[in-house]
Amino acid sequence: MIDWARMFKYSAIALVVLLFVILGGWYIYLKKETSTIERVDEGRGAGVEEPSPASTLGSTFSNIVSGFRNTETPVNTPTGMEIDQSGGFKSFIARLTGSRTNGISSFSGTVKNAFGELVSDILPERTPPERPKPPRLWHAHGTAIAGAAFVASTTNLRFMERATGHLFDVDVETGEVKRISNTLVPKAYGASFAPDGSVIAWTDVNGSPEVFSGTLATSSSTSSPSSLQTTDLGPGITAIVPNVSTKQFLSIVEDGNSFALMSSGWKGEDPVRVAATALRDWHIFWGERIVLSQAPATGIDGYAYEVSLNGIFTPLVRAVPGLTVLPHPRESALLISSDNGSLNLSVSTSSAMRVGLSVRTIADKCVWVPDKSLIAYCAVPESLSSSRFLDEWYAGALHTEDAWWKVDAKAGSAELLFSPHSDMGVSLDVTAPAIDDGGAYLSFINARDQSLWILRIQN
Amino acid sequence: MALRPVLFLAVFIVALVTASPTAAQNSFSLTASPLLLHFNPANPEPGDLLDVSVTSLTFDVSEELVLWYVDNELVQSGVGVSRIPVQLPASGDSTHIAAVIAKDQQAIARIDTNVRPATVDLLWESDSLTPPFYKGKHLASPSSRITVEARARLTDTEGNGVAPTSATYTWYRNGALLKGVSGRGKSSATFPAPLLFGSDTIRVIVTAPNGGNQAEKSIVIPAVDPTLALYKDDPLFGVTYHSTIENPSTFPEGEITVIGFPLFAPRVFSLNNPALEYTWLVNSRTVQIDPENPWRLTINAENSSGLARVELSVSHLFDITMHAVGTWNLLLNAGLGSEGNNSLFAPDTSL
Repeated sequence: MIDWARMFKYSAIALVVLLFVILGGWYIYLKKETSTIERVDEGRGAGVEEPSPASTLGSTFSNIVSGFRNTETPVNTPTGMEIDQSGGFKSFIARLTGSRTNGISSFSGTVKNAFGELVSDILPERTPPERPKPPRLWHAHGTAIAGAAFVASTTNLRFMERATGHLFDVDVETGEVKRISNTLVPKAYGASFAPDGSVIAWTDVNGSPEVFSGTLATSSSTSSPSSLQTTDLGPGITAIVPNVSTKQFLSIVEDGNSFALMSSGWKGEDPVRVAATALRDWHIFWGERIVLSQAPATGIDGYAYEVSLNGIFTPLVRAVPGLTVLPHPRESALLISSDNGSLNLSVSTSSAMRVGLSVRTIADKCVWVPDKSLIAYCAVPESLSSSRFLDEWYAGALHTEDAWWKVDAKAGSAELLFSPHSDMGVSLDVTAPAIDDGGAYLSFINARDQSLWILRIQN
Repeated sequence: MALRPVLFLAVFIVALVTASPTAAQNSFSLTASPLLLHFNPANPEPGDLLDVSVTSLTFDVSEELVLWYVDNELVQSGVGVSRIPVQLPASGDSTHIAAVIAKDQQAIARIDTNVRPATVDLLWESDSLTPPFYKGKHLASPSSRITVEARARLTDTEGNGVAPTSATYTWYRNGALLKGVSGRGKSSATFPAPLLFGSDTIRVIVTAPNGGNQAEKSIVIPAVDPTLALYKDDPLFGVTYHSTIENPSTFPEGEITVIGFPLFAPRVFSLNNPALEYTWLVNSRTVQIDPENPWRLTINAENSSGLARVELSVSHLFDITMHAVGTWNLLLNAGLGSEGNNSLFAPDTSL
């Protein structure tokens, strides 16, 4: 006789147990799948700390290293290589022979993880908890940049990375480097900046230069990079320079069979034709006045003019071979250099007086302190082996080892400030020098590799 | 009948007397001065030291008392002082100069003039090839075209500035007048560049309208031979125009792309110009390159010693004088240890 009650009871118990087993198995299955998904996401970089560009080797190198370091594949491998017993390598060996055995392991992941730790032990920390003050001469960015300038009234130096077009801010006092834009602009060859840090840059992707202006989009978050809103400034631009005080720029633009000097707003709005010229080879300066200087060549007479807003050219310097000039941004002083087989530098504080200086360099390697002191800092080649300096230097066929000199235009004197080669064994060919508003920091690009350097003027 | 000769003789004697210097001293009009002023330079510029001299067909200046006035101030006087230096102001302001011949404390002849210095600058450039945003001057290679611009500062008779479009420009090339490019308002002109190894002299005379002043300037423009530069074309950073590839050079990569740049090639505005012909050799073997990018060469040193002797010649289809050549010895570091492989490189084309 069947005891239906007992059978039902036992069936119910079995059913409950079976249900628990099924639920448990489902839980384990889900957990396993979740782990797999998390591992895949980590491999794609989810949850990984954003790489810092603070490495002296530049953000591109740091990105590669950080990819090794952040893989959390468990370690379960036989012994690894016996390389050395110094601290970093001990850790390397420990990683390879670690005791973690739970979970799935892979040898490649082990090696990557260990190698990343090894490299990070040897290299400086990317984001040290207490950042040391940068050295007096600081290699701020190791890969090529397009241009740099100090943001007005801040301790920030802003630069555009050449490979990516990303904008970075460097706090010259603390050494913090922060990427502030996330818009990719590949192969940015040159960049210049408005006082507020907005950028004008040019690229050469398809064999012809394309010039654009860029402004950072406002972001509610100050910690994450913003997008760079760009405006194509159109074809035919042969030279362009921002105003030192306002958010405007001057450009030389093709105009039929001749060229026009145009002033515009940052996005090219409100264009005003300032002057006309039959020539395109000009260097433009726009501070308190507009100065045009002919693009120079060794031994060829050059001219520099002050151009009024109604297009009148008033000569500042006439018939100087290999002429380059640097007007003071706010005063009437002018640095004047010549190249007639040898370099000469002089300074003019009024139209009637020009004083020769004892240093031999070109005005391109100089920068004025933006106050009334009439002090300038010039990078002076420590030796010159070419009799055609300008022609070869502009073509990239010649590089110099420069020392920094302080020029006093009022006194007509110059004194040595700092020699990277003598003091640190570093050869630097200075180009595109810039100075902060306080006259405490110099930035410049090393023409050999277009990397960024910062010099604290006072030791 | 005898009356006619007598009358003729009388008229002759009267004419002779009235034309005598003694009579001229009392009745000679100063508006028709017998004095002439000469200036050196003929078209002075502001700040010039002007040499002023006076001559006369009527007087023997060397025996007369000459008084010189500059801006109405007596600056020099003396018997036979026929020449003085006058420093013109750098500002370009007009300078009044007067020369007076005096006798018995009376002026017997005078001449006045206003010297209004003028300047003209001659600026030039060529349409030869340079890298994008090259900061130097486009130098003139044979077969290129030179554009010259005159920037003059002239004044009219009242000392007012003359607009460039109102002045008349007269252009000369190697002494030959160029009527086609000369004229009113023609402040710029375009010429062919000098021949190879030569130079051209370009001269302009700029004249203000309605008797205003005049300025002139000459310049010599030399021809240069195009040269070849080799730049690395980096996949991340683009073409490294800031630094040419030296000879010899070493690269850590096993593959590099380089571009050959004919600096100052004539009448070419970009490398992508069908007028330029590129011939590449690597280790003495001609390389087949991408016809769309003939200026670009990719070298791969895999399974080779890494040594590449790169030779490039560039010529111009329409200018037979242009033939630029260059040679570079490059060492790529990939493939070290692959001994026994005679292939020194595996040529590749970039696309």
